[in-house]
Amino acid sequence: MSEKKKIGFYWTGSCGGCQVSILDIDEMLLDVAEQAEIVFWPCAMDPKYEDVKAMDENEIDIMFINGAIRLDENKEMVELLREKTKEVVSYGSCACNGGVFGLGNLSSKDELLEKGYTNKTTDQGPFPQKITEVEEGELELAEMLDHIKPLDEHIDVEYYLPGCPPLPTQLEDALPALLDDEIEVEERDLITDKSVCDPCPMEREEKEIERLIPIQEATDIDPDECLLDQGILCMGPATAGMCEAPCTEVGHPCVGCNGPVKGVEDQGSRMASALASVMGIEGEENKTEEEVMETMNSVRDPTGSFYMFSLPSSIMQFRRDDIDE
Amino acid sequence: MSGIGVFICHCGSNIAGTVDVDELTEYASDLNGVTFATNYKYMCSDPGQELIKDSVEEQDLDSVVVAACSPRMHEETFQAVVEDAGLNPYRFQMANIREQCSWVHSDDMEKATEKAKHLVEMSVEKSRLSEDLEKTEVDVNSDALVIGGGIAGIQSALDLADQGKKVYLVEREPSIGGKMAQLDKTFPTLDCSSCILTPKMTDVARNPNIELLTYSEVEEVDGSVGDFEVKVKKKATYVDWDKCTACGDCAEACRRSGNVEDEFNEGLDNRGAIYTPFPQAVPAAYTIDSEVCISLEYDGTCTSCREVCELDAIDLDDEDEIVELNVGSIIVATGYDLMDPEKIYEYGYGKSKDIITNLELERIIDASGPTDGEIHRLSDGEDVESVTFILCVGSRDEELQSYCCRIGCMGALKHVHLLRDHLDEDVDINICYTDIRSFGKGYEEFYRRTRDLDVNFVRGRPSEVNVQEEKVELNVFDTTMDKLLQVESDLVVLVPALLPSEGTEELSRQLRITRSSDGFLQEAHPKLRPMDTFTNGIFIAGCCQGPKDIPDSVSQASGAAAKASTILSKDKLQSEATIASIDDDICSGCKMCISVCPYDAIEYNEEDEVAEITDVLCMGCGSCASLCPTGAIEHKGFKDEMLEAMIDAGLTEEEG
Ligand SMILES: Cc1cc2nc3c(=O)[nH]c(=O)nc-3n(C[C@H](O)[C@H](O)[C@H](O)COP(=O)(O)OP(=O)(O)OC[C@H]3O[C@@H](n4cnc5c(N)ncnc54)[C@H](O)[C@@H]3O)c2cc1C
Ligand code: SF4
Ligand code: SF4
Repeated sequence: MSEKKKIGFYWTGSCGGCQVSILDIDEMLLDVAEQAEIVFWPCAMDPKYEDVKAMDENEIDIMFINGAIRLDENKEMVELLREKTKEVVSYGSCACNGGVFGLGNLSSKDELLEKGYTNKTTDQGPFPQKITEVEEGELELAEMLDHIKPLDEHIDVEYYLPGCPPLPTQLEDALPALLDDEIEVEERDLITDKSVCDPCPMEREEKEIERLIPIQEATDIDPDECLLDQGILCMGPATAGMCEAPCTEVGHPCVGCNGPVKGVEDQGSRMASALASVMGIEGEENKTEEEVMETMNSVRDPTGSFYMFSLPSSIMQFRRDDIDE
Repeated sequence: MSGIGVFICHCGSNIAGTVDVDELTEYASDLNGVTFATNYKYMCSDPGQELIKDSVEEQDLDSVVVAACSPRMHEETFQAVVEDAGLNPYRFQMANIREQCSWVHSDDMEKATEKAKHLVEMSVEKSRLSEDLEKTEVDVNSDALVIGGGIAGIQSALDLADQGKKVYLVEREPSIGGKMAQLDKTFPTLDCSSCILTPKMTDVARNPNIELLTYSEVEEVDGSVGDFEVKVKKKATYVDWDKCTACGDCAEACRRSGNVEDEFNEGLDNRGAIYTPFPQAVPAAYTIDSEVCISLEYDGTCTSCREVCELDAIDLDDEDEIVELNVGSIIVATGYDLMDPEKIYEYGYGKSKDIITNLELERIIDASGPTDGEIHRLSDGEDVESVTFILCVGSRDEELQSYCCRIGCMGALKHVHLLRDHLDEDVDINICYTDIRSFGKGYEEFYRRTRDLDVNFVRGRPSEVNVQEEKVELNVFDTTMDKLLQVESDLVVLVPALLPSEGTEELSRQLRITRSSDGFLQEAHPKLRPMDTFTNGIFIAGCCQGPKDIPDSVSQASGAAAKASTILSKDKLQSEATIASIDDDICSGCKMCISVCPYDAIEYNEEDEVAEITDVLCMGCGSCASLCPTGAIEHKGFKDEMLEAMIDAGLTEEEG
């Protein structure tokens, strides 16, 4: 048998869910351990920065990186790992599209810090800064970057495995393909061409949505009928469907965590333009301005809904203060 | 090496006066993929076209960009030139540097030239990604279907048949003729309605190209332009029409004779179970009304009609039949119904026999109508001393029908003439109107003549109609006199709103054509495509599209026939090449696109769980392509990559 592959898992700004998802493959971890040697996994082991620095170029075969690049330290670390790795997998929605953290791009760095540290609801502790003088000398903290960008805007990425977090089934499909050199590169393609609607079991109609209803206010949801047809915003049509639609299957609308289907750049604008085309379409020629506005206004928090996981990889990317001013 | 050729037009001084065409040519020749660039005074002129053609050959060009006027002007011209030169016409792109540049920036040559560079570069970028496109072809069935046999349907059918087309005319009543058959005389010439209609009806019956399917309704429509598949249900008539000569012996013998409300006479008299709607009916034959026939209810127990019919035409075993038709085009001419005036409770319709509709009045005035043309009070047969018309009953009314019925005013004016002919000259005639609308040819003159007939025109809508012991009394505030009037009448004639005929909604669904907010069938463009629908190959004529009089119905009917004929006369139809197509490897079946297509070109394939576009129906509007959330829909000739490349080219900053 050929030599074991060297693999690693790294997390940047994240909730930790992606790391848990790795454990979720249960016994398969043992198979993985048989085929591969895990050389780097801060969540489970305790490697030091210096150890990584000491590695050879391309010493690691496959590196899974999850999380958002929020701090300058995240950026430095992924750049370093890139040097040491043959193939990088952008793992989870934050790495692929910016993830929920990406919604921070709607505010400036200063606004975020202000909200986080001087807000009345939190303790008025010290405001974080790069260098803090203490008796013993200088302390250095990582600094926040202005915006979150997807991982592939910082370093080259070979494969993408989005999801918040990716499901064990996705990893179970991906891992053997990644570890087996015989398998064609295309088969390691982890984002589907088809959207969540494809696996979604709900019965659906031609879309003629009168207005959207917030799910909290929706009563009498028909468990077999397409949620969008029932006026509940479901991101399924614009979201890559490799998850096999577990959320809609139990009646929860898709929130779009997988990001867009393959080949589509901007998930949110795709969904917005699709919805805008079908909402209030019945008798639209005769609608008054007010009626049209009422329909539009039934979309609550459009950015948060359409771009919950993908603002940084969208055409918008972040709020442009320079344009505002 | 083959490449793109850029041809810049001066358009005399239209472009060259504002844009530095030499600088632009030089710029274009350096663009990515461009191997040849030149400019000329008038690209659309013969020498200009020759220049393009020759250059394609001499310079070995594989695509052509012309920077000139709007593609609306000359896209087709240049596509033809390019095709003549041996290239696929879709290898041609047009940059509009006139309407979008020189005309609007004539004050700044430098900036206009810069913008022209961007516009040319955008077209070049698009051209780099262009590919050969082919039109698809479908065979055309040259037969036509006309639905509805009123005057509009009759006219369309005759026009098409005269052009040698085979026409199926489907009418749901036992006879064709529609509402016009019920009219006595017609405005503004007062010629007798049946005298002008009956010859047309018999023409239909005699025309070998027309296959008449009366007492029939459309059940199902499939397919698309050039090849519609239609199922028509022929209801059982229980009379063998091949044998029946309409002698009428059966009707006299019928035991239910005089027991069933006669629809043709608006319920003012009665018929039997076996009947023909009116003497001039086409086809001339009798029909048994299955709902009232004793034999059909009690299993052949009554033999009255069968005993008298010498031709043995009565067949109680007759059954509904489904006829399958294949046609290339469909004309819908299903007409209108009157609104039920009982909807306006205050007007008392139904509370007295002396409160009638205008259509009932037509039947009463008609010499062959239920009263043989005698006009008396319907309640007690007494003489009529006063008649009052109420116009706009339910029309021009925000609560009911907001639109104008377009025939009510003229119809009432006509009735004044006819009443004056039939009644004593001292009979009072009042018309309560909102506005008198007499817009058609000869109509205003007709109105003037009516004014001379001693009529009281009261401008106002009555608030109430009360049935008194003898007379009917109504209160109306005359807004011209500023006075409340109380009017007593022996006959009150209501002029109700016109509605789309019953079943229009269902039919529109079967045909996949749209209705406007008033419920009438919708034309593709209110001015420029008044008889087209959004569904290719289906046309509309007469009152099904909106209220109108006979001249307008007939004009639209002939127009619709001419339109249908342009399709039926072709052997094959070509679909647009720049249409949308769905990649079924990407389509996830969300059904978002289906309701958006204004031409109903998208259908859902239940088996493969993907949406599909019927090429011939797609008009290439692009609505679906911009909507599909998975990017499964490609608009040929306008692919996303092309648009992105154009945007990039359009937004590049000038260096320096
Ligand atoms: C009281 C009155 C007086 C009028 N006087 C005049 C006048 O003097 N001059 C004038 O120019 N106009 C007059 N008009 C208007 C005139 O009646 C219409 O312009 C004309 O009848 C319109 O013809 P049409 O063929 O469009 O509709 P219609 O006459 O309504 O014919 C429609 C036909 O389609 C059939 N049909 C309906 N639905 C279906 C279906 N689903 N399947 C198959 N068949 C179907 C109906 O049975 C009917 O035979 C008058 C109208 C009224 C009410
Ligand atoms: S919108 Fe796109 S994905 Fe949805 S049904 Fe239409 S083609 Fe398929
Ligand atoms: S391009 Fe327009 S006409 Fe063609 S299928 Fe799409 S929506 Fe319909």
